[in-house]
Amino acid sequence: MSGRGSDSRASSDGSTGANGRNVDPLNPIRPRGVVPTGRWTGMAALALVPVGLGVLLRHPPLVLVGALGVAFAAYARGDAAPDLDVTIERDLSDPTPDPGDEVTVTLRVRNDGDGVLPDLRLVDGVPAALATGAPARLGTALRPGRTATLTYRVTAVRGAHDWDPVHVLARNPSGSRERDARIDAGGTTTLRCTPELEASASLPLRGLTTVYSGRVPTDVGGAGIEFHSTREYRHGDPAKRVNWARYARTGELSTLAFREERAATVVVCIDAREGAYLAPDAESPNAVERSVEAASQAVPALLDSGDRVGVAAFAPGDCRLDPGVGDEHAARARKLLATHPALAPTPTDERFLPTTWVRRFRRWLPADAQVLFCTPLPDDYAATVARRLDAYGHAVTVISPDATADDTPGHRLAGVERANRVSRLRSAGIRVLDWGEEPLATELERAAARWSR
Amino acid sequence: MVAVTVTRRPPRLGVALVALSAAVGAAALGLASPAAGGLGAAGVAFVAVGTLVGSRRTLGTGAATLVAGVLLAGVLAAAGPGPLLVGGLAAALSWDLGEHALGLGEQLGRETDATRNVATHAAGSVAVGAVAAAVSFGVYSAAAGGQPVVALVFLLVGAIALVSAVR
Repeated sequence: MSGRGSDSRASSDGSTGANGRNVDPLNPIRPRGVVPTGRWTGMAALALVPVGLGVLLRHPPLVLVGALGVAFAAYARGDAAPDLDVTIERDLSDPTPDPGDEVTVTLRVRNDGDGVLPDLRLVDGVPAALATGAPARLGTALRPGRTATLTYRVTAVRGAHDWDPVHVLARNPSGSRERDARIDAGGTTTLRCTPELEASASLPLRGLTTVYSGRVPTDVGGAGIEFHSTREYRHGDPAKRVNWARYARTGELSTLAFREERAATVVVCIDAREGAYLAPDAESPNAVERSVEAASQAVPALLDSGDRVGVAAFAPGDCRLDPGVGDEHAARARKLLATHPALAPTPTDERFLPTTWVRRFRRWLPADAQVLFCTPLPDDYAATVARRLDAYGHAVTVISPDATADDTPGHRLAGVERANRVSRLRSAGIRVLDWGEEPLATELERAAARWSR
Repeated sequence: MVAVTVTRRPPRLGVALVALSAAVGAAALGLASPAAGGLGAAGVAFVAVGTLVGSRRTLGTGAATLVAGVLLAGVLAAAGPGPLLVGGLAAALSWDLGEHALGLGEQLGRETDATRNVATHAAGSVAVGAVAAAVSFGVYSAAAGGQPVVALVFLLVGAIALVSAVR
């Protein structure tokens, strides 16, 4: 792909100051096309001062200094804006890395024009989630036909990341005019990082099940493993469930009933609203990342045990996967968890109406579905959603990654508020797994020992 | 997820070139007149600090101080064309190279490799300045046989008119 800097010159109003201050790195709104930089403004006027003094004092060498100033002013004035005709190719060392892998990005820029580009500045449009400390920037000069290379490394995080167009600035030799353009790079522009789904310790589910046999023990007597009750023998009961010991003792026929183990339908719901992108500090993964991690451990564990699993995101955009079983379904769930834009590692700025979302979610949710709600409980509304779904009969289990910190009074207050939400949910009969620093499997193990069936 | 940290400071090569050009100018002025040399030294300090911390205002003050030094040398000490031309060239180059380095610092940051960019820009500006100084000095030497100053000025005005016409 080749791009030519657009010539459409936007209104260059007050932003092009007299002393070259139009370049404001913090202000992304800059006029496109050719922009006078104004860095030589006033040079011609300044050059007249020594000329005037030279005439007044009859000292010819001062006039020479003026001539020098005039020469620089003429240089700036006569310098045309550069023609920006460059081809940019981007190359990733591995377009589909695993999370945490270092990926080397190589950006090659070739000058396809006839003229020298004496001052070329490139800023690559690194996706927000991949941005690292190393600068993806290059300042160089390019002769016609030559290629400059910019290499930098990014650390892969989950998701599908698209690079933005490269921001290119080209100045003429004197720097009096610059051309500002965004050029799409050819080659690879997407990095797909799809984590493997890894089943952790089995997930304790609540007693809401389907009619299919599975793993979740119920309060229904029937075929199974764990003893439930005994009852009178009825004609047609299987011989292996007859209580032969009692028959030998008393001569009465009775039948053993075991807890029936059935499969559940579970919908894993991830809170990925803008307010859920919370982290205790800049280095830690945010709560949405951890929620997705919890989901990608829960989904295969549940699928392995024969449960039907669906996925949904409590976030703008329709991110829903109908409950299902099987390898194909697991692959779909993996792809959705890894690359769906609603679960991206950085928040989107789409508008979100939570009440509408809850209404539509309830309509979509199968009647016998449990809900595994992954949320950092950032506000009361998340707790309300959990309680409301539980009240509608969908047994809710909350997995809550703890994103609070205790370094400032404000952070401590947020931590207390969250703890209050957790205890309110627990007193409402909802299981809450408060997921702190330890691995999810350890926390699950501990919680399973605590939770009654 | 680490936030992007770009040090918005000019590249070191740019700072070095600016300080060098300003120092050469101040030295030339000092040879012609000690007072102008002192003013030039103040200019060097301003220019160096301005480029180091990334302040256009300080850099501009430094360049203006160098120009003032040149005028002082011309007016008080009636310095010859050599020191004045070198001083003027140094003032123009410190502003040009310094402002360029500042822009690079703002847009690309100190960590970015911009050596080629800085070197190319510096070469262009030095070449233009050197040719302009050489030509004007040549004209001055050729015409210095007792011609009045006004003749030189008219020559300059003619040159400006020619440049404007070509443009």
